[in-house]
Amino acid sequence: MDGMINPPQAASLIDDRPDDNIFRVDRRIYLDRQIFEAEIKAIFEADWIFLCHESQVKNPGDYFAAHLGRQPVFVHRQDDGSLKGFLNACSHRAAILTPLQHGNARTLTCRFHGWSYRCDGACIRVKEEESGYGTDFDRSVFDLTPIGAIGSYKGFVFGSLSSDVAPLEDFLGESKTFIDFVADQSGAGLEVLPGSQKYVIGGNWKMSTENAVDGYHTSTVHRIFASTVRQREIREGYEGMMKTETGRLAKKTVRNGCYDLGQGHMVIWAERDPVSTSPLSEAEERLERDHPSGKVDWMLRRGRNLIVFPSLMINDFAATQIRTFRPISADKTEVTIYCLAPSEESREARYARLRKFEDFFMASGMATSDDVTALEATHDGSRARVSRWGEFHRGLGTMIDGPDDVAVAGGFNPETSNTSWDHETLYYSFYRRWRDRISGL
Amino acid sequence: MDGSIIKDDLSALVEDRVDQGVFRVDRSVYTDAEIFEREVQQIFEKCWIFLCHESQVANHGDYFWTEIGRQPVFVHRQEDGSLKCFINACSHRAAILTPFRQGNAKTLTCRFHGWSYKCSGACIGIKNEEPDTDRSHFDLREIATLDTYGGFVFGSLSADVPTLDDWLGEAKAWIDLMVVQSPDGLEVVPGSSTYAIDGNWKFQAENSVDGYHVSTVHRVFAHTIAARESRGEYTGIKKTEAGRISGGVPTGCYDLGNGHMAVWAQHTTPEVRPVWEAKDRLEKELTPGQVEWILTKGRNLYIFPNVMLMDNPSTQIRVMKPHAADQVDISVYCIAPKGESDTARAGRLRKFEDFYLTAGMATSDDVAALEDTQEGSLATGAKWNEFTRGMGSIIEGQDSAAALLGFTPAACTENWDHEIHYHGFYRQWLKMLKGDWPG
Repeated sequence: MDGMINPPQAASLIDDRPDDNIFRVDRRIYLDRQIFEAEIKAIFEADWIFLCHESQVKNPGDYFAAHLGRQPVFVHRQDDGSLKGFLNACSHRAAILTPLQHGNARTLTCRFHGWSYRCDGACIRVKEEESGYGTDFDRSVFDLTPIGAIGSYKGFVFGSLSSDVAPLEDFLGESKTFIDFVADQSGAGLEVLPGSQKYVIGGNWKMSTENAVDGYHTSTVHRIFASTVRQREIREGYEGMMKTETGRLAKKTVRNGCYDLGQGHMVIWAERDPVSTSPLSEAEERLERDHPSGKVDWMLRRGRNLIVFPSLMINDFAATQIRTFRPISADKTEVTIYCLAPSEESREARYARLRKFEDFFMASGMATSDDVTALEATHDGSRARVSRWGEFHRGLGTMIDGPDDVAVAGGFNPETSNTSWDHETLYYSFYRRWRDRISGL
Repeated sequence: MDGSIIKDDLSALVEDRVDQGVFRVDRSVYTDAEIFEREVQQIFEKCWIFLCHESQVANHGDYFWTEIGRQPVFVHRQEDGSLKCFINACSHRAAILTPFRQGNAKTLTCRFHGWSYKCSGACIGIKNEEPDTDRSHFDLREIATLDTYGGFVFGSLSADVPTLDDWLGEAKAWIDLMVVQSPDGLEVVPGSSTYAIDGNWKFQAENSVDGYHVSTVHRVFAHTIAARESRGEYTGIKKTEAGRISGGVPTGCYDLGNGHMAVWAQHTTPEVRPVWEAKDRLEKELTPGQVEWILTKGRNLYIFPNVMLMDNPSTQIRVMKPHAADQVDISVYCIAPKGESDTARAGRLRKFEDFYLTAGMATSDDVAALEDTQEGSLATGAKWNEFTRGMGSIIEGQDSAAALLGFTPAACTENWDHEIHYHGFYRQWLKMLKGDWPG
């Protein structure tokens, strides 16, 4: 592929020697424009990328606009219930076809020159067709261009500009089990709640991906969040689901850990203490009935952050969330977040979930803003090229190849496990996959 | 950079196979940063560029600051009434010399270190000057070429250009249609509006002469004014013709050569046009063809590469200043015949405000469409922009309307929905991009 980083050069960016107690990345990977172009081409415009959740395109005609790399695309629910993905550009003059980020339209009519496309991408109307093109005009030449591949796993919809991709389930690998831990919480399925928030971080997308599964920063960056929430809960007597587990943020009194799931997917987790703080706790009996107890432990009793390579985060801690990182440039990343919830939960649980979602997340939350500040400071610091390396060797001494006891009980098989969510061994397959992709491998 | 489009064949960007029914443009011409750099160097810094109207620099000392490509320049009216144009940068440390976009200053003094320049460009003051300084060494740099046509001032950074007359070619007949509306010429009315579009400058160039979008993009504008007119408001000279925007009147499009393009549409009620009050005089002084064109045909003229002259519900100069592949600044000015009545001037201005400016009811829709188009062009999996509409009805040379006025387009069709005039634009664009101009 053109524009790739040659393999020796890519290899020199990741100092991958865990046997020598070294794993570090050249900070150039966050700054370099050529590397960024290679990422766009080989990862974001070639790999499976998360597009939306099925609940966001529930009915025939529902559409959802997203991006694959820099390319605008949209997902459209068909009459037969299937999903198609198209490039979001009118075949005439490239104008974006979707009037809103998401909505319902059985037919999309371009707002520029009025051409219309059916749900299935067929060009069905050309304004003033005959006077412009004569009587033997073949509209099908102007059908919308479908994306290379679209697939869905347990409601999570992924697409690729390339048709030359592994089956979605193979791509997801061990991350499927962690998607199950969220998706199986409800017999009625999950739904993305109305409303979303977008914000732009002045920093590289990989820092956002790292941050999503970084347990080590929480007791520093979110210390003020933790003390604020605790004060409030004491003063106002919050109990049960309304409580945010601040102890977990402030100091490690509970078991936690991290997994490198392989293929660039990663997880951090921590025990909930007490479990009753989770909105899902109301469903404990049902879960115990429907699922093996090893799985219920993971669904209910442990908070989890999952990264699906390269830029999808599924979070189930204080609240439940989908977060995506869209690379705009080497130093700019657009973040979009949605609150995700089991469809049939009680009003009380939904209320608690939403309030805790607002508390922590979003640009207006009390913790996200601290993350953004940390990431922008990190991006800025990476420009100090004389100190070349970003360190990822924390916890190398306690790294376990394969599953630990709780992974075995949960029925998944990580590449490595580790004993603390402070550790950094989970990032290894992410950076190895990243290195291979930008080398065109 | 690897994978550069520039290194590949530039000609591949424009698929020009009219005989096979194909004319299309690679959408990367709107998004690629390297192509943009080349446009700045090969087109904007070599071509004739519209600078301003003479009425904007009417008196000795009047200056007007604009840009040629990315280079700031200003036009300065000399003591003898002639015009000069200089690079707008102090010879000492490059600071912009003009304190405002336009104004009057017989001497320009740099606000940074206080050096002064006479209207003629001569450096006449150096703060704390050393003895024996040869100030003439620091005179301002004049641009290579400057000329005017009908009061419209053009300049070029290159001396290697055809005469302005030859460059404007068939577009002159269209400029004349505006200039002759008053025996005293035209004036730019005070005030202007400048806005940035997150889109490529060529989208604005295309949009300037795109009849096909009108009934879609400006449908809401048409409804709004139709509703207003049906209530009995905005009668007479204040009326904008809603019917014309919705379609159904005679129209046409012209490839005027050299990349210049034009479209027109018939006015159904020409008596609402501000110029109607001059009908008797126009009939006395001009050819019947000119009178018919002035009074009954609303016109958009695009002069390659950076200006559009519009005589539709109102009259306008629109200037494009490209800043990046995905950013262009637009400035709009209302231009009017000198000496028209207050009623006509008020009608003209109200209709100008109605449609144009970012505060207008229609320009904002155009900007939204153009920004959508920029964004959609990033979907490189769908590669081509289509310019095939109307290829079955191309007329080489004059149609009857062109013959009536007496100009000879390279090609035309009798429908402003068509896209064949863009062929001339993209051929000129490609020729210049490849460095094959002026030849």
